This record gives sequence, structure tokens and C-alpha cells, in this order.
Amino acid sequence: MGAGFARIRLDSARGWRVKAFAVSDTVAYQIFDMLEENGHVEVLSQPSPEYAPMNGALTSYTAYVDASYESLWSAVQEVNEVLWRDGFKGRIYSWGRFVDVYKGVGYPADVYSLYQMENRGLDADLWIAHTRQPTNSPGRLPVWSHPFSSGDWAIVHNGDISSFGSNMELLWSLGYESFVGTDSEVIAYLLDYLTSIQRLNVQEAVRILCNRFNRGLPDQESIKLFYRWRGARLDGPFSVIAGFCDGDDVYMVAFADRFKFRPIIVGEDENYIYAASEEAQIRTISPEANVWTIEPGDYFLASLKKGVIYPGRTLHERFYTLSTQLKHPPTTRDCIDASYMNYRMLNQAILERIKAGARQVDIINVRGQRYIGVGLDYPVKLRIFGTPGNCLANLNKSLEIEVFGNVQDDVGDVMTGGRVIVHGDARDVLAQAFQGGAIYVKGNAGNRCGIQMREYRDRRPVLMIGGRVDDYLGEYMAGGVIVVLGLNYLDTDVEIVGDCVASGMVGGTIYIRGKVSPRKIGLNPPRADVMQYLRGLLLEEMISLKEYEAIESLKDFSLITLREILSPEAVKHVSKLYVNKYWKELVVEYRRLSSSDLAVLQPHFEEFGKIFNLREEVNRVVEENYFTIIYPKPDTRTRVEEPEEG
Amino acid sequence: MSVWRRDIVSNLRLLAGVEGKTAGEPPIASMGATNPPLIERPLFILDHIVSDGAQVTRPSIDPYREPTETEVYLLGGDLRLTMPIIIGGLTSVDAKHLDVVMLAGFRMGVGIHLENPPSLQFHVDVRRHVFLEASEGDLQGLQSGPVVFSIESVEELAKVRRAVKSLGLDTQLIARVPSSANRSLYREVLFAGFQTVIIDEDLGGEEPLEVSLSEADHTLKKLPINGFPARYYVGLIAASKRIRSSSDIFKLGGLGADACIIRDAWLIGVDYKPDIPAHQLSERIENLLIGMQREIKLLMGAAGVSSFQSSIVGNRELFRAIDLPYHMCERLGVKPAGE
Repeated sequence: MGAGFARIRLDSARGWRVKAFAVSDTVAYQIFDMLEENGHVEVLSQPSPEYAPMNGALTSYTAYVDASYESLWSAVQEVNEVLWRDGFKGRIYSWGRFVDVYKGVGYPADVYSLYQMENRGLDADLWIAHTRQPTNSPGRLPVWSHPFSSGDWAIVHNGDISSFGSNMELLWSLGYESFVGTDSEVIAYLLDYLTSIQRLNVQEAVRILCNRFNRGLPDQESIKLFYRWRGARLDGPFSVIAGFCDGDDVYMVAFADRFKFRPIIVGEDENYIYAASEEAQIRTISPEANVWTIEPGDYFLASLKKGVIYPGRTLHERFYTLSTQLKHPPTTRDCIDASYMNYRMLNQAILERIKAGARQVDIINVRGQRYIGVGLDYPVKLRIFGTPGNCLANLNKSLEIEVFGNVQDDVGDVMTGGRVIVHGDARDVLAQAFQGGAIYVKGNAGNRCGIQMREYRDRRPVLMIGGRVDDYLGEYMAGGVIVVLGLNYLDTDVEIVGDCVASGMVGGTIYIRGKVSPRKIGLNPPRADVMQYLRGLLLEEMISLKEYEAIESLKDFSLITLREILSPEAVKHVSKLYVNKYWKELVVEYRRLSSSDLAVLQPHFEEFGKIFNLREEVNRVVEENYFTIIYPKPDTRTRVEEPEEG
Repeated sequence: MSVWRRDIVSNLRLLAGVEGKTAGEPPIASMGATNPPLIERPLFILDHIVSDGAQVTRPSIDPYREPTETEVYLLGGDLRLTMPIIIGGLTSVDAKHLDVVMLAGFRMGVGIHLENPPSLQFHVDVRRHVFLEASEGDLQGLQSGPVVFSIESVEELAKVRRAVKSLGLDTQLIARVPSSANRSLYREVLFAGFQTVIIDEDLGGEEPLEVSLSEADHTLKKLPINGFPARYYVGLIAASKRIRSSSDIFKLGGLGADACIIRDAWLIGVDYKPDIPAHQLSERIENLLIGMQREIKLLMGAAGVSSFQSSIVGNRELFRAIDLPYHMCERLGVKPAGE
């Protein structure tokens, strides 16, 4: 285990605060002597230990130095390289004017007491905290703990960066010599290099690292930027929270990878701005904060002086309109107060109430407990007030769970019956492998909702979402019904779903209010590949210039669009780019709901409207709005069903 | 033992649609080794290199349902290839088929390397994808676009440099060099204005392609131009007639190649014969390239990577070496398996 904290304070500069781990006072003195031997660094104070040195273990020492950024940077590289070669008796792990890092081995509370942080009267404009279960490096030394720092950046990271080797190659070619060998440290070095040496602004630097998929029309400027900085782009799963001070302002950045393989949530109240892995963490500090998630591959940026600069989503402004009005929790003595309970205690308490004959159990002060309701196969109702943790209602069969608040990731996974009602937002992987019952979410939902949903005989799951969703809605979907209403975006032309809707879908039906761009449905080849191919067909006169230009002028298109414009012969050719042996033709309709649609959906619309007090809006949408309706094209011939791979 | 083992040829031909009925479709493969060096006798250094693969915290990616970017940019970002492949070996192709091959390659968005260019005029679009081989003698009337000079020594470069001056400004200069350890050549070539280097094992040279390529990548990374590593301004291409498959291309990518010139692989894959009907040749090239692109995507997905140029090229950390002498691992920058 490892843990650590970083604090960034705008007016704290007393020169560079250099912090090093060393096995003894002697080594600590050697480290700072070596810094000075570089010739351009003046050590202003004696290195002092930050806590009582423990025999043979690395202890943190601090001293102040005077130097230019460049001189200190290269001196730190040299010293760390020497220390590494000499059998790792120490390492400089933080050197900034405004950044101060405290890290060690153990739980956050251990590090907090090790550095006696309570007695130090520390204040800051930005705090970062982290705890880790190491997967990529041993956890036994404090150098592997987060935050990682370089210059006036401090970062914490959750994930495993697959581009790590490429990023290391760039850093190595730029003269970075010494690494502790964990993927997370490269993030600090890259951000520091891009902003301090290359003088990119924070936004540009973070955009490069985020490495977002090119959505829609490629823009030449981004292509050049991404090409030039290809060694700084991150791939693989990550969510990162970073802080930076340039001397004028303090910046807070949070960003997620292009697939959004790791959770990240940001929030804001009257006094503070927050970013965390889980909403429950923000709620612990600020029960009333507005919170939202970042789009896949996007970043959140705020500063001390400017507040939220970029919210991490393009459609932020209407974001919590549906979910903020939450019912006040009950105060009866009957309810369970989950304040000091872990998930086992909580599920046990619920079970005891049920066994005592309760038909409804109210739970208040829920804050991040996972697995609520898992293994409780009783036809009773749970009312949850607060923010339940991940894996709510997993494998649920009979419970009705009503949440007055937002839920976190992975709600209703492999749920086969019962009902989940969420009065706020849901996050990622909602209703994964959902196979029976109903899940209603009043607000927005995150990435990968309804993936691998399936139905069997009379068991047909229904997932209804009042707001909007991110990418991969209904990926690998094999059955059941998903409805996305976007009630918070009525009377706008905003698309309420992200990319790759219904990718790999083989069964079931998805209803999305409003028009969905063709390119967002399924997985389409890059636009540039298709235009290249069509250009080739044009040169061979298999398509006309008029046809080519008609397609080129479209904002986006799919194979269905191409079929409408091109001759069957040309379509046969270009289909190659779209069709493969795993590809299943999707039917995409854009129309009002029919009576046969409503036969299935009407009871759910009524319930949804009644529960969330949105009858009027739902009725209006059902009667007036067009829906994009997606389902796989039915097979024209019967075939032997083969078992799906796991 | 032949480079062109039966299963390698068969796989290429299945992709091209010469054999079987699944043109363009890679056979589904497992993660794990059914290939050299563990099962078959290794022929090349490449056969000792394996992909480290995705694991729990870094999940694999399904390229059939989620985006996986195989495109690479060359010529300073001006040329976009849909996949890291350039078709070469056109000297073995009947003159009447040149156009067919070039148009098929163009449609699929790959590059085309023409070693003995006929004096034909190209469509301006196609020209951008053609890496046209030139010598200092025949630059008159050359259409603007990428031009390749074979340069075997620093002395030769001086002659080329004079010739280059007579070329227009929008000519993109590519140096084709032998597979050697002549590091000073890269420096000279770059300072002469070349922005792409092809390391071509078929031009000779005393080093295996893998070593020469990897060292070139590292040399260029330590060569600053305007204070920034030259490697990030220039493209690096590997060429050899023994590049057999998408897995070879994938591994050469890891050793630093932005793209590879394939020669015998595609000729064998499409079962090229001078009497092959044009439409069949065209169809097979398309199928083969689509198939290879999908294989590269599958390999990327299995390594938990979604962008070839930013995450595979030069990313030695994603690879491990089996049964390779330690000094060779050092030269390649690839760790031995288990490390």
C-alpha cells in the first residue's frame, strides 16, 4: 500500500523546495551537496528530516535552493541517476516553488500521522490525496507512492498506461534519465515538460495527453499537434487528477482516457471545486455539490482565479437540471443510519430488518458502500438516501431499490428481476448484462450503459434513462429494451448519446429521442479511410464527381447513407471497409413511436412519469417527438445458434 | 528452411481470398504462442520477439466493436496512410499491372514504393502516395511528391544534394539506406533536408534489419534539431522482402518503424502471376490489405493499445525477447521475457 498528499499554494514561494528520500542524514547531505556541485544551484538551507528517521528506511528531507528551472531540472536528473546507480540510497521526488508533496507507505492516515500533518497547520489552494494498491511496481518504498511531481506539477493516477514505453522513449530522448519505473510518473514529467519547457498552455498540454478519439470531421490543426507530440499521448486506462501552479494561478486538471476505462468525477459548490474517483468522496466533504462526469478522452480544467474553465463536457450547462431536486431523507427511528457502516454491516442490517418483517427499509447517510442489496433475494423495497457505492443491485432478483441521490458505477450488473429507481444520475457501466426487471434513471447516465443486455423467454429487461448518456450505449446488446429520453435537452438539437451506439448489437431494441448522427451508430471506419477509398473509385470512374462531392459535403455518414447515394456496384466495393464476419446489419429508423412500440413501453413510460413527477414531459415526448430506433436486422434464414464466446 | 513457411503463405492467401472463402478475415487466434521461437525454429530476430499482451489492469480492446487506430502519418504529418504498410517490390510486376497495383494501393490508403519508375504521369492524388525512386540523373519533369534517393554513403549524399537543389520546393525527400550501423549517415541525411528514412535490408548492409532499425530510432531520438529530438520530425520506414506478415509489421513498429515496405509478402499473398486478370489482382490486393489491417488491429487490441503511431511505434516496453542473447536485447532495447 502507498499513500500521499500534495498541496499547492500560490504564495508559498521561498525558492525551490526540494524534497528527497534518503536512507540516512549522511546521504541526505550528499544529495544536496551533489545538487550544488552542478554549479548552478545554491542550497539555501540545511536538509532537515520531515519525520523521525527510521533505521535503514527512507526518510523524507527538505531543503530550499535557489536556481533557474533549467539548472535545477538537469541537476535533479543527474543526482537521481547517480543515486539510482549507487544502489538506491535516496531520490529527489519533489522540487517546486509552490508544490509540496508528502508521501509514504501505508494508508493515507498512516502518512498523515507520519508527517504529523495535523500539527503543521498546513493550508493550501489545492489539495491532492491518493491511496494505492500497487499493480505495476512494488509498494514497499515510498518513491513508488503517488503523487508524482515534477517542477510545479503534482499528479495522481488510477490505471495502467499502455503507451508507457512510447512516453518513456520521448522523455529519454529529451534527456530524462532517471525513472522509478512506474507508468504514473511519466504523466508528471510530460505535463511539466510541455508547459515549462515547451511553453504550451495547460489546456493544450492536457489535450495532447488525453489523446481523445477524433470525433467526426478531422481538423488539420489537431492532426499536426497530435503528430508532433505523438510521444506524449497516453493510451490504455487512466484517470488522472493533477495540480499546477505557474506563479500566477493554481490550476486543477482531471482527465480520463479515450475509452473511459477508469472513473472520474468532478464537482463544484459555493466554496470549492472537486475531482475524485468516486462521487461518495466528494459527498463526504460537500453533500450539496453539483457533480458531473468527464466525457471519454476529455479533461476538466479549473483555476483558483477563474473557477471552472472547461467542464470536461461539451453539454455541461443542462447537466444536473433533472437530478438536483432530491427528496429530503426521512428522520424516523426506523431507518438504518449507514454513517459508520461498511457494506457487510449494512447488508446485514438490511437483512435483519427484512427478517423482522419489514416490507420497506429506509437507509440514510449512505456514502460509497458497495454491493448494497447483493444477495438479498426478498420482494421488499429499499429506499437509499445518499450516494451508494459501486455494484449496487448486482445480481438483483427481487428487490425494488429506490435511490434518492446519484448512483456510482456498475449498477444492476447481471440483474435478473426487481426494479432500480434512481432519482439522480447514474455513472458508467449501468445495467451491464442486465437480464430482467426495470431500471429507471431520472437524470443522466455515463459510459457503456446497457452493454451485453439480454433477454430470455418472458424475461425482458427495460432500461429507461431520463437524461443523456456517453459512448457505447448497448454495446454487444443481445436483448431487452433501452430508452434514452434526454428530457433535459428538449427543444434543442443536442444529440443525447455519445459514440459507438449499439456497437456489436445482436438483439433487443434501443430507442433514442431525436436524431442520432449515422456515424455514431455502430463502429464505422475512419471518415478519412472511406473518403480515400471513394477517391480511388472516382479516379477509376466507378463513381461520379457529383456523388463524391455529395458525400464529401456531408457532416457525417454511414454505410446506410452511402447506399442512398452510390450505385449498388460501388456500394459493394466500399462495404468492405464496413463489413466483417462479426458485423451485423442494424436497422435504424427515425419516426414516432408506433402502437407496437408502445405496447411494450407505455407501462414503463407511465411508471417513469409517475415516479419522477415527469408525466407531462414524458407524454409530450411520446406524442410529439421522433425517435431513433435501432435494432439488428432480423435474419432472413434460420441458422443454428452457436454459443457466444464469453 | 524457407522464409515462406506453408502456414505463413496460407494465411496470406486466405486473407487475399486466393484460398478459402473468408477473404479479408483474419482467423480468430488465441493469445499465446503457436509460432517461433517456441514451436517453430526461429529464422530471424523478429521470431524471438513476442508481444507482452494486455492483462487485468490494462484490458484488451475488441477492434471489431471499438475504435483502434492503425493510421500513421508520414512526411511530417502531410501524408496519412490508413495502415503502416507500403507496397513495394513492383519490379517483379508486369508493366501492364503497375496501374492496377497502384490504384488498389491508393484506394486502400497505403503507400506505393516504385523502384524503377516508368516514365508515366500519375494522377496528382495517386502521386502523393507514390514513393518514387529517383537518381540524380533523371529529375527532369518529375512530378512533385515524395521522391526516394538510395544513399549508401556520406560521399554519395553529396552528389544527391546537388541534384536535390534542382527539385521543386514541394518535393518530399526520402532517403533509402542499407541496413547498417552507419549512424553518422542519418545525421547527414537529415541535415541535407530529408524528412523520411527508409532502412532497406535488400540494399545490403552488415546488420539485420531489426538491429539497424532500432538503432536508427534511438540515434534519431538522441539527435536534436532545434532543441527537439529529430525522430519526432522524421518518419522511419523498414523495408525487406522477408517481412512476412502483419505480426512482423507490428513488431518492427515496436522497434521504431512508422511503416513497413512489404515486397514478397503481398506478391506471394495474392499469388501474383503475369497473366492474372486485372480485376482479380485488384480485388486480392484489397482483401489482403484489409485483412492485414484487421490483424494489426487485433494485435494492438491484444496489447491493450488503440493507436499504432503513438502507442506501438518505438514502444519496446510492449515487447519481450525469448532466447535472444543479452547483448542483442540491449541493442534492440527489448527486455528479456520475464523482466
